[in-house]
Amino acid sequence: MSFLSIEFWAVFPFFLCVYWLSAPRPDIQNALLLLASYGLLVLFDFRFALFIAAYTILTHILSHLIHRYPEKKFFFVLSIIASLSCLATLKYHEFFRSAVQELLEKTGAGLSLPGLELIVPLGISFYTFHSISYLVSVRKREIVPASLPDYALFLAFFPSLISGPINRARDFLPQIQTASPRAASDPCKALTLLLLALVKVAWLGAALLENWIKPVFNNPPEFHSLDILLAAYAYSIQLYLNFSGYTDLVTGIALLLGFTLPVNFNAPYLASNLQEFWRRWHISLSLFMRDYVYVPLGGSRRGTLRALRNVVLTMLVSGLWHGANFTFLLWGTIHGAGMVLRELAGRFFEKPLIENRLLASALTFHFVCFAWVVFRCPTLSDSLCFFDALVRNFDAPPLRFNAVFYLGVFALAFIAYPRTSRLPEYAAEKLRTVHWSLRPLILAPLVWITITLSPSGIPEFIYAAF
Amino acid sequence: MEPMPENDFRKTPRAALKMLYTLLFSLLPLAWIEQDAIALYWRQIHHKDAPLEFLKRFSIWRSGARLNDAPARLKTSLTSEVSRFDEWAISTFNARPGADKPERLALAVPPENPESHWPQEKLELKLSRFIMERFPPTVDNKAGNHLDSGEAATAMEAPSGGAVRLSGADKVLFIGDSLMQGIAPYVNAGLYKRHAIRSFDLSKQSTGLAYPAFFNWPSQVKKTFLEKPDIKLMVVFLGPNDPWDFPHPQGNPYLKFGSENWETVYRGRIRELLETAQKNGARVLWLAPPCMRKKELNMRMAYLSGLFSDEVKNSREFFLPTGSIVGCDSERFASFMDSGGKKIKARSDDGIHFTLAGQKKIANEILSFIHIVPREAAQ
Repeated sequence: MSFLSIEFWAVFPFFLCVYWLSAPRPDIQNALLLLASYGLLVLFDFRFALFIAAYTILTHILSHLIHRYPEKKFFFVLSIIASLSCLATLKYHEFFRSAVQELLEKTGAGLSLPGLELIVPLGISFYTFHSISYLVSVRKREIVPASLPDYALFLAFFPSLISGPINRARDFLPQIQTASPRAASDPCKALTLLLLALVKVAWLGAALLENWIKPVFNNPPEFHSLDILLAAYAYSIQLYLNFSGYTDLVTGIALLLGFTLPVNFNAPYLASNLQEFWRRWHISLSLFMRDYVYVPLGGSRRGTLRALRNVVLTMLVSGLWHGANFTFLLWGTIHGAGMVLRELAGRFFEKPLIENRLLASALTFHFVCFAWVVFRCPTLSDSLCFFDALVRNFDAPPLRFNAVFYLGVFALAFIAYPRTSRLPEYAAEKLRTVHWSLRPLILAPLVWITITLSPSGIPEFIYAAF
Repeated sequence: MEPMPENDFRKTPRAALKMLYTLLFSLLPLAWIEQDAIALYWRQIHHKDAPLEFLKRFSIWRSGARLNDAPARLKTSLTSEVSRFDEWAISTFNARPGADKPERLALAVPPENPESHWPQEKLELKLSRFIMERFPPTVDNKAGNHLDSGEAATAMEAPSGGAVRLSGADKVLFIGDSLMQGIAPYVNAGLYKRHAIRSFDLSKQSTGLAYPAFFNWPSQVKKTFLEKPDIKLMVVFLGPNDPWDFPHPQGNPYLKFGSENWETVYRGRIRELLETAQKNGARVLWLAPPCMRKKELNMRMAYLSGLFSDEVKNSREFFLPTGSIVGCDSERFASFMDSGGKKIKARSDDGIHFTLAGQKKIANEILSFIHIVPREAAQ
């Protein structure tokens, strides 16, 4: 069930009623949330619910062993291996199997590796990371092991179950474990976020996808270079709208439930370099990668070369996390290489190469934008075909979209972007000034206009596939 | 929002009530205004009437739907204004001095050279060539000769025994659901790269022939043929969204899936598509749905495939079952297909859609079915 579907919004208000009627008892609210989260999984496939239940019990037992025997590293290592093995087996088994198959073929071994009929449980990429954060925190004695129901809810909390944000145990578990009643502390912010999500995902993002991205990415040679450039920009924008819109949606839903999710986006295309981009894009993943991959690898503690190697390795892991495909590895490598180059340039030149922030942002955006092409295309050849058509098709075929005009619109949007990034907060502030009984008179027409302008159909969330 | 101290036990229910009020009264007017869209969606997804459908007996409830008329008109007129502006700007750009004429592209690939791999063969960048050789393009360029090997001919239950013959100026139309959305781009790219043949991919997820009020393929196809008379092949891939009860076209209660009346109406819609293509001088290649992981869905797909097969054969058009291409039949679901002694995953985890490898395999079969001939021969 999509969080933007009619079914969800037909049921969710009733759930909220029951949930807030139980406000004096957070433990009952937790039970309701756990039930809803598992119910949601069962709607997709009951095996998803069975798997997360088994995974929860396993990692919960291990967390108690880690806590009980702090002097023994064994249980911690075992728990991390167990978590990653589940992810590797279920999400990456086919990727590794086909890679080994290719290798065997190249070496002349005539072996055919059998394929496993496994399915990837929904949300496994996210709750594996949730559990790792929990296990590390228990090991570091930042937290004591939670009770099984609290831990189960921490892993399965439905707003962040399918596509994050990635919750940290030490920040999120206390919200579950609270004994004092939760408060619907900022409904205006929540409702603004929900509206914003609708605008970003169902209207703007879906329109970009429908009109430009799909046709061009399906067959780039058919299009003029300017049309292809337009589609490349449009995809960067759509990916941002889709994923940040999804984050707005689940953050809004969590707020309605009295929970705060971590910030995941902060105007990423304003970044003036790649490091800054990753501090602004999918922040919960970047921080996870920094704390649980980059730092354990040694971070920047053992000299420049090791630090650069660690950056590349971290980006490779980040790329692979997005999907079991070589294109994601390549995309991670491109970002890693970009960061290494920038770091090296910084060491050779005293002053920054580009002092103008707008120009630096524009360059960073283009780097990220063209790397997104590799991210979207299913194979490397498809990416090359895209870039080949981009640089060659200036003379023919003829223009099919009004690319010159819309590229101008994009440029204006890019310049205006810094001023608009605070718009949601501003809208929430304005909504707070309206008397609560009159708020539907503002919200309902805005939702209506957005739905009317949106292309038909329930939009898909790109990151739900990761 | 009135400031409220967190954890204030007495005020929490009041704040929550206000929030619920805002949420409910923002959503309820939408349920009233968007009742028609909700009803259509509900039929398409849940195969029954929407829960609020009983309110239709009250004229005050029905009046809500009419509120949508003015914005819908405004949207249509705005869209057409934007399209007009876009078309003007595009034609101005394309008419600039020195701009190439659209025909140049078609001429770039002589139709008598079906093995031409434009634009790959013109790649000059060394890196591109290096990578192209090691990582073959998405669509296998050798696929054009599959028919000669007899592999596709066995899969095809085509009465005329041959393949569709197109000239470089002809166009191909793809219609279907999300399965087609996965395949059409590769056929489209293959046709364009090899023969500079343009295609129109209208495929749209969640669509079928069961709920024309949600999406009406027969009327969409008629409209498309009127606008684009040079379409000479229509490739159809429908079915997985159809194996359900649907409302009778005359508004009677729901027709039960597989019942005699259901079948009559459904066959009529298949025929309508076939006849539209034939009236416009286009051939049809109908792809039958593959096996499905869920037994019930699998049985229903087998039944629908039978209907498609019957009607397509009666119309003397081409029918291609996709299951056998990706290594399964209606008796046994399989995620993996054999390819040169290797197991390749062809189906995605949902047991319905294809993986990239599966999509490419089917795309290649479709490509192998299309032969490019000089314009006179195609006619």
